[in-house]
Amino acid sequence: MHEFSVMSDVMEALKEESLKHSFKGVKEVVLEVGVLTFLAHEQLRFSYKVLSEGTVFDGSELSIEDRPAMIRCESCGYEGEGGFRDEPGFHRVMPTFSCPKCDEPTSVVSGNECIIRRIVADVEE
Amino acid sequence: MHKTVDIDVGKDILGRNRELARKNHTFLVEKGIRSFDFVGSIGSGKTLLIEGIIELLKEKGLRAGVIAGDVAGEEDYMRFREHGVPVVNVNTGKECHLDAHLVEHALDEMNLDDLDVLFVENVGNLVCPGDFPLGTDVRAVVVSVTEGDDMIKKHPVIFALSDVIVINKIDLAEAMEVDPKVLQNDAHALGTKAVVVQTDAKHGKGITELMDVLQI
Ligand SMILES: Nc1nc2c(ncn2[C@@H]2O[C@H](COP(=O)(O)OP(=O)(O)O)[C@@H](O)[C@H]2O)c(=O)[nH]1
Ligand SMILES: [Mg+2]
Ligand SMILES: [Zn+2]
Repeated sequence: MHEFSVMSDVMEALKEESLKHSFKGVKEVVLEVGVLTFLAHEQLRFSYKVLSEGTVFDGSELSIEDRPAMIRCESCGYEGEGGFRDEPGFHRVMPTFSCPKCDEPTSVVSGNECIIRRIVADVEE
Repeated sequence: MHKTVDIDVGKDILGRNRELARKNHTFLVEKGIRSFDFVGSIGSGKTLLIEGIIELLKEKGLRAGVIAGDVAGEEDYMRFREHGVPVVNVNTGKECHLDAHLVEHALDEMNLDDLDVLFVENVGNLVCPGDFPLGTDVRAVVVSVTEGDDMIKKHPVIFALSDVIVINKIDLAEAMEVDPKVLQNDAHALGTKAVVVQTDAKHGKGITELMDVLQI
């Protein structure tokens, strides 16, 4: 629901980069979006299209990559990707953050970011 | 001549809110204030639960303050005011959630000097607050049995990101033909450290247990 306002902040940061490097044209912007965020990719794409109109980012490709959820287990020290388990009865994937090694509850370390990873752009030689 | 560059930016757009949340947290800890953020659907019982806790805190000689977040209106603000505690009303307008920045401003407006506990009631929403931690010690998510028994399955992530899960309106469970155990099991299946408490805020049941879990 807040994709547009998050994308507005992304756009602000992108424009700062553009000023810093004097982009002549932009080919691609790569976003890494955590799987634990509530940001729908389609709505992010739509907002990007609307917000980039008339800027140097107009017409560039927005690539969105998933960032996994990482968990930490204080019982056994496991650190790694948090599991999602299939819930066939519900036709959906449920997150489960119990430790894959010892089954104890864990803490979520990451997976709730929205990171501007890369910008592929043309600049003056 | 132009050349193509590939710039590694590495900037987290949601990170700004998290930074501000950490700032709020440090500020509250330095003031010696325990803080709690209540999220949950509209009508799940967030306000009534906080009201119940406020009254029991009075008996313990502890003073609470409230930041009441809502899209619009002063209803919750007026309800909290009746308890004689400091309240700041925050209307988010179109936004679907409070963020750390709004909380920072609300803290500016509040006289925090003799507060022991701060409650933040988030906008009624089981989705958007998930992306915006506020900097409280504990986030509690409230789900009521009147919403059915599948709310945790439908919105697992906000429950997984919360420290305490409150299953409220258990007085209505039978009438709704909803078994609170289903919610309880779904909460445990998330595999997080979240503690689950069942309450009936209307008749003041489970509030003491909830306060034990919140350590107040
Ligand atoms: N029967 C019953 N009603 C409740 C309970 N908790 C809240 N309510 C009622 O549900 C309605 C919504 O509660 P409120 O605290 O305003 O919900 P909020 O929108 O989450 O703040 C009010 O009419 C409350 O009196 C409960 O445990 N049992
Ligand atoms: Mg309320
Ligand atoms: Zn483990």
